[in-house]
Amino acid sequence: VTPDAALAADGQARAAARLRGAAEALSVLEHRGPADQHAACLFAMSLLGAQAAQADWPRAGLPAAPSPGEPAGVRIPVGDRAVVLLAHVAMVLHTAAMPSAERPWHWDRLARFFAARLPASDPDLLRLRVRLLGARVEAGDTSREVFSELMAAVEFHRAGHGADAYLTSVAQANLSRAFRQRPTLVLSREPGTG
Amino acid sequence: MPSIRQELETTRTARWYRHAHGARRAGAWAERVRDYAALRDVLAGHAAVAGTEAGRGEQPPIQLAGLLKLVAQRAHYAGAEPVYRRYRDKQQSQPILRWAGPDPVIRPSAAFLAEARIAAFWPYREGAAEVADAFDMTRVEWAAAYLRALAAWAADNRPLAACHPVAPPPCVPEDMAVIAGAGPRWAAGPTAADHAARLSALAGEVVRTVLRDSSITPLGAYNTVRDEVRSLLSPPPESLADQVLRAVAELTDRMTCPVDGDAALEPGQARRLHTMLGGLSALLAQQARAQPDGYPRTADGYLREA
Repeated sequence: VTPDAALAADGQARAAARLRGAAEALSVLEHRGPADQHAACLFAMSLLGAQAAQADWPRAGLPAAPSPGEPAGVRIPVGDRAVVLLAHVAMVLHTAAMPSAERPWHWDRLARFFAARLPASDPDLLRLRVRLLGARVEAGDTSREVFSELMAAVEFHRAGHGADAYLTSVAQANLSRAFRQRPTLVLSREPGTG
Repeated sequence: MPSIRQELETTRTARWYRHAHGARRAGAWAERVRDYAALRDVLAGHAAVAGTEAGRGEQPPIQLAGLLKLVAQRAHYAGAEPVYRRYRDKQQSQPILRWAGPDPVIRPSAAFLAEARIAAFWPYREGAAEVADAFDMTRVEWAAAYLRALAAWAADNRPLAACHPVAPPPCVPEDMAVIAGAGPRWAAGPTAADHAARLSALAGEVVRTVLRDSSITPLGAYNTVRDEVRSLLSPPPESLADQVLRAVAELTDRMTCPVDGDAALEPGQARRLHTMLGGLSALLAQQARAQPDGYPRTADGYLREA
């Protein structure tokens, strides 16, 4: 490891870490009013435009990222975790003031966008899928497909992190929220139980 | 009055970081970056072994003997001396002075670990501060943004955060002092310095929460301390007496200067208020006369029994 090689690797890691810090701070603004949410979403898009490799963000259901005013230095790949998480936050802010019925379309676009760039087992891709499922439940979609994906998410986290892990409990809460939303619950009868 | 971000740029660590990172010291900084990268590799290797022995998702504390020697080996130095030289208390001719200062009690390995944590956390801190400043965040929002960025750092750098002693980067107490510093100063309550100390302790709790559960998100980790952070940084609730004073002043204004001819009170309301305020007025007169006598009173104003 030479100092120059360490410095070059450090430059990209630092840029990604900066995006991570910014994404967490932008998440705090989710609780502000629609005008601030909109401004925060645009701020996130400006960071993506300036720091991430070029991408067709409207195709991902997000507003277009403004082109950076100055030549970009380090560009973080679109599949990097910092970019995925910032895009996730941008979508939370983008859809916050939308009617529930419009949100699933946007989340679906974002999940598809990253599905083409990340391995199927990537945990952040799963979080996007779960967010999409939550948006579908809020929009009144309690289809069998939604339930089976939510149950799969519970099993995924239980197997990967354990029964008491934070994400397992979040996945269980998502599933129970979907059950509460369901107008009539039809339980399938087990064979041989009368 | 400087903004929180401006104040954060003047902390001792912020000044050290700017100095260390300065263009004229680029070569010396690159050497340090090489040390930090080697440390990450050493810790990652150790964590992979130790992690299999600990509970699923838990990052146990890491304590390594001869840390600087391991780092020097990992970075392929001929010996450990160049690394020791950078972090020992005697800093003659060093282009970058160590963050820990000249105190000989602070061992080179501890000084090195402190700097490695600061350097790794710094971009998270910068990213959060940029957003918080751009959106003119309240102190509670600032604390939330900062602590969530800290949780993200701990999640991304679990072995570094878990290195003994398990702790946030040492810049956190200074930063918490800034975030709490100009906060509400309560006459009878804890001081801003106490708030800062408590916020620093909560920051430690956030890091430990992340290390206990690899699945937890920065939001989940922050939520474990959120209520206390809010209570520390939110303005104190207005006292009942102040609420009455404000309401009386507002009512008086509206009665003397009615807007668009609107009566501020119905006659029935006026009669009830007149009766209540008459009784209250007598009680207040009693209270005002009784105050200067110097007798000990309980918090609610009643005389305490001897």
